[in-house]
Amino acid sequence: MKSRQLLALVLFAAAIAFLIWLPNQLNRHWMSVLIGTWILVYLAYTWNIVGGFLGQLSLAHSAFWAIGAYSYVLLSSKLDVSTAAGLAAGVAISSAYAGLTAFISYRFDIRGHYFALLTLAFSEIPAKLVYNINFLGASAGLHITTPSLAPQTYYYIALAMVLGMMGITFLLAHSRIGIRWIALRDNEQAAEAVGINPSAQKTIALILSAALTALGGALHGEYLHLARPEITFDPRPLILVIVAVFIGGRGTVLGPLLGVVFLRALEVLSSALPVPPGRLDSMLVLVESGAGILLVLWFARGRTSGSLLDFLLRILRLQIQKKLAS
Amino acid sequence: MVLFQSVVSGVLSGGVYALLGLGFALTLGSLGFVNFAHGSFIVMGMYLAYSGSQWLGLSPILLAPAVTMVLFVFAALAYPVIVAPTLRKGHELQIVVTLLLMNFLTALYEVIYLTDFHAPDGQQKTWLIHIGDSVLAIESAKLISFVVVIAVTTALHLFLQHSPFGKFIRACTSNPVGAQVVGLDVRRISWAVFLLGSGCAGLAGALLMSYSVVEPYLGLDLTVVAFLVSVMSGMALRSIVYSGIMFGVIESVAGTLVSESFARVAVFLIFILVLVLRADNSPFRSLLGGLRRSRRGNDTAAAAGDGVKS
Repeated sequence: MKSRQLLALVLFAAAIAFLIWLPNQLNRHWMSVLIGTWILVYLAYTWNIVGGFLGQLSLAHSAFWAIGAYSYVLLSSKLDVSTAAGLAAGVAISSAYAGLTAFISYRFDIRGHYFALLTLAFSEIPAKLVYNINFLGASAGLHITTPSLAPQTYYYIALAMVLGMMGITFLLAHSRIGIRWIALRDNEQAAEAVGINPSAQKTIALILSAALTALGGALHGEYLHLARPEITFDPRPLILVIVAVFIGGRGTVLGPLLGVVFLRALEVLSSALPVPPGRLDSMLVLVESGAGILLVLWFARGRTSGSLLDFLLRILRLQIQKKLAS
Repeated sequence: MVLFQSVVSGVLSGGVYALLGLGFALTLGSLGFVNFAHGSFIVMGMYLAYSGSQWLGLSPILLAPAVTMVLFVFAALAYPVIVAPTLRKGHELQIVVTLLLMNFLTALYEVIYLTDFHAPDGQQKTWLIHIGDSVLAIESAKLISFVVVIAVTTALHLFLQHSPFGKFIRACTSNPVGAQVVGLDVRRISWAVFLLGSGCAGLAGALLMSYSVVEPYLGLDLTVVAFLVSVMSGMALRSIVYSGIMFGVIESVAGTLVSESFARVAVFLIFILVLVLRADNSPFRSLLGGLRRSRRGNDTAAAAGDGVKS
């Protein structure tokens, strides 16, 4: 057991060293692909807190994301306050909004698909409202006027944030609170019977997740140097991330990373397809969601749902057994 | 008078909203299947009607039966892939898969039609009715759609209440296990219900196309409208026309009194309000009656609750 942990640690360190070395070898296009991937991985980890550990299918995260982005861009472009203030405002507003969402859903015990639809409403209300608010630039959005940083800087910031989220997820998975959440996900009544308060736990998780999501939104705003309704509030990245967590393994430390990297790899591969110009993006989504449907259904075919992580672990174990046998 | 005008046009568009909700309520109530792609099915109906009317030079309303047939075929193909494997696997899987299906269909529309708006051909006919010295305008396409919807929902209601097959469907809705015990083929009935629901979506799409514009991203909004109308009516087919009309009036009046874009926000605000009012432990529940949770959802607490009741 000890040696296996050591091996995992060495592999992890090697992977990080590789990722730190990587950006110097890549051109602009691949850098943007990688940065986009890290930002999605980050979102996958923050969604995983609510959707993976607790099984709460929240669609409000695109609003938490956008709140982070808008607060950051507004404060750093128009009002010219420090970066920290922009981040803090995003986190505070997003947490408060998550608190409101949680209060309404859990006070009135709205669950299942009603919860998904309620959170969708909570994400769509600000998305539609922002078009009417001139202060936030209405449909044109907001731009940051200062020149953007070097792509390498964004890469390292995004990488550091992803590693931080992995650390938080690891701590959660190995602490009482994370175990409580998984218990709630698997059997709420049983969990309640041993003294776990479902609404309190779910509220804490949603607020924590929203605060972290807002930080990711701020990074996205800084990277693109703008916040615009149809980009910042776009629900499609969130759907992609939800699917990635489902495919990769819910409530696990490596699952979200695996899922997003897998879907992004698929996207990169399918960008080589011969497609009429101007339709490439739609074609990528088409391939991605088609493959996503088949994969999710494939993993869900048994009595218990599998994941990419389980699949890889099983292969790894088989290989080790083969080595030992020979 | 402006207000009266907006109430009338709200009532007329409410008919189609009722049809959106009807298809959604059929699949949710009877199969326990949450179809987030329902709105995209409607958009498919709209695009089919649009292309058909471009190609044949007919009005979208005349093409409605053909569009409905195409949607039947599409649903028959989609059922074994999307619905059957997820039926008794809980709401999370259904939501993820149907959200993906929505993404898939939206991307498909983008590839075929690009992201442009498409409007129905020709000048919209409008009848003017003079009342005293003010004028009431009624769009003919909306009026025809309303009449068609009332006819279809009435026929569907009679079918479900009186025909043997309708009784089978209602039996499966109220108690799937019991229906299986007395020898009904629940799987085939689920299949038929999904086809019926998708057919409603196609018909609604063709009717919508006769007076409104279509773009690839309408799907999510239409799903929300469908869900809203069906939740407002408590999944009961009887009250779905009233809640569709109520919703149409609220949307239209909010649009007139405040602004068009506020009407979209109002839709979601009403939605939250309806969910809160209908929640099982809401203090206002006695006003409206609680949500009837889908019986086949694997939501443990809901399932346990149902077990206690029955």
